[in-house]
Amino acid sequence: MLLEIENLRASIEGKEILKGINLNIPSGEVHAIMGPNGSGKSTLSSIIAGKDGYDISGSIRLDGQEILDWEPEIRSRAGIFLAFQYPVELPGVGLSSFLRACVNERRKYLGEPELDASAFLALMREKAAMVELSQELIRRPVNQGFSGGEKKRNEIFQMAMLEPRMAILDETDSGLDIDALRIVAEGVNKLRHAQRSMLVITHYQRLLEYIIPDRVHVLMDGAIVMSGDRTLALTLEEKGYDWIRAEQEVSS
Amino acid sequence: MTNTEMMTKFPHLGQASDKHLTHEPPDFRHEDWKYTHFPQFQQYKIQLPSALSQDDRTPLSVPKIPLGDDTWIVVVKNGVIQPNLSQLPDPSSGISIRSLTEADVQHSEESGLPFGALAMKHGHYFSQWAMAQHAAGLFIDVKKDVVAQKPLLIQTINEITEAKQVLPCHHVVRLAPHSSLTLSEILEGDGAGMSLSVYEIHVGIGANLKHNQLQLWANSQECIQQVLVAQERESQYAHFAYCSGGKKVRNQLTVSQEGQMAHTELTGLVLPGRNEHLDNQTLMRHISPNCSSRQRYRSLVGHEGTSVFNGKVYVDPAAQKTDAYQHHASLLMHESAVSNAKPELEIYADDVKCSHGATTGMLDAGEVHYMRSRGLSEIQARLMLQEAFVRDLLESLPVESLRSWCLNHCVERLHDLNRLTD
Ligand SMILES: Nc1ncnc2c1ncn2[C@@H]1O[C@H](COP(=O)(O)OP(=O)(O)O)[C@@H](O)[C@H]1O
Ligand SMILES: [Mg+2]
Repeated sequence: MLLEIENLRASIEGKEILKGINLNIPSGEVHAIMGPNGSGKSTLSSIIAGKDGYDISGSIRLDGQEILDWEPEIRSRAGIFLAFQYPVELPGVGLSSFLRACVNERRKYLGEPELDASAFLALMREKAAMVELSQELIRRPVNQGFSGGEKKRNEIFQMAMLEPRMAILDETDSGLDIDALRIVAEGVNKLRHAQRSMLVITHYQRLLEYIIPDRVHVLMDGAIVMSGDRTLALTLEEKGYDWIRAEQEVSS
Repeated sequence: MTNTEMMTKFPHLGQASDKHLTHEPPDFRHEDWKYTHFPQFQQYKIQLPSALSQDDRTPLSVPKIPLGDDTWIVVVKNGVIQPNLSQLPDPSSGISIRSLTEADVQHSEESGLPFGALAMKHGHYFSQWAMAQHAAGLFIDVKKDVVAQKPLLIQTINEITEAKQVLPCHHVVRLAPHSSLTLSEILEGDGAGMSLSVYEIHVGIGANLKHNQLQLWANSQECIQQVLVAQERESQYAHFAYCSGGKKVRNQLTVSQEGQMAHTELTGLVLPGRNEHLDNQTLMRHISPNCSSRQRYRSLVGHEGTSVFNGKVYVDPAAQKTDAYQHHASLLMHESAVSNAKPELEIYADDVKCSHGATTGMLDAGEVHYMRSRGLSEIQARLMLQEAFVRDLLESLPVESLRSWCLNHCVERLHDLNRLTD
């Protein structure tokens, strides 16, 4: 199992946000999490990536290793990647020098030699083309002056550069028009790999028409209340979250 | 020293106008000296440059700056030019550099641009005090229409061993009409004394002076400096200040645009560390119409360091169509870091464009977290953000080799400041 989440609970300022999450993602699979606003999707992804400030219990294992006490940079170097729902602007920090440092940290962790300037440049050109990110954007500071869509494409570009084991996409589709959505989805699909798993968080079914998930989970009020194959996303789209609430009441 | 005594020494100056001419150094009650004052100044002993041998052949630790042969270099130790360590321009270049002498002073009076006039008109207490001591220094004279073929670098090394000793210097720079020069200075040293320097700079009609000062004082040293600039019409003056340290440093930059269409560019980067207090003050005097100025200052303040910035812009009723801009940003590396920044705008003309802004704060936690989540350690992330904060200002340093040297120095300095913070 590539990622195992077991009875994960998280609270902030005394308020419980995640209420015992269990989730297993085998290597090579793409899982989707859907859920209404405020259900805890971003909290779950932030906690996997190592954001502090939460009271946490339970377990998160990557390839069998407990990662809850690892610093965010160690998790990243070990192969966890989070595409932020709201990517951050880094004033004055050039995208290419930033990414070169990041890529080399990951390579050092894996025992691979660092990339020299020209090898890095070639890699960057190739991956940028994949998400149709212009050379002009690459020369700018990270996300500075980027449009909403460009920021999201930049997240997928960075994911392509870092070649993670476990990629989490937090509402990467929100704020994208249909063309941008297609570009992002095609980029993601090219990165599907037997040694790489993905967790795609979305609010809408639309993205899952492009990125076909192996499993779909529904997160409501801090707990996974239903799991199924890709048809669950369609049913959910059709019947809405109230249907799940009704189902839950019946079963309880 | 009293008012009268000063007048006796500089009889040609006439009535000095100002409130600064008091018997005692200004203390915290004086608005301009609120954060930075030197209460024991009157007990300081004067160390005059002439007390040192003219031919000091002891090896100097002149920092190795890869400037190549394409630079004129003047090494000045404790106020005295070291000819054997310098590469001075030859007389045919139209640029002369020498020690200020009594003869120069006499000649300047005859020429109608007397030395000391700017200092007595706009100088603060310490500058006027230095003048009264007959402080000597360099006289840099660029002839009419001469465009300097190489940049000039002055390396100043002040080794005033004892605390409460002060080395006063008075430098004069004259650019005749339509001449141009890039003048860079590296100021550093050892010991515990104070460097007190007054610069009188005259930029003639259509002349262009790029003036870069890199102050690398040790954290035992004190410095008071005032750079006084008079710009004639259509002239350009650009000042770049890099202040990497010092126990207590007070830099004052006073620029008067005395003719139309003059442009002034003031840039400063200040990096005080622990128990260091670096104060930069500017006074931009817009007294002629159709002139512009642009001020950009940034302070990156380490653990228990203090930065002060006070930027005054004065726009005279006559200075219509003035375009003045000022911005100051400080980045505090720790809760114990202090930054006092104050813009002061006095605008008496109505058809002007004046804008100013100031920001202060610590690194954004969200930015640091984003970078860490891509694999950078906390310190790598901080350094990268700090370097980005300073890099953009360093672009204003016009000499390429000096710029990359300065960037390296700055990055090393940031490493030190971060180490202290942890
Ligand atoms: N820093 C925080 N402090 C307090 N409450 C928070 C914080 N972050 C998130 N929450 C709350 O936790 C719940 C889940 O938020 P979030 O994970 O962002 O939901 P989603 O991504 O599913 O929309 C919401 O009720 C939100 O208000
Ligand atoms: Mg969210």
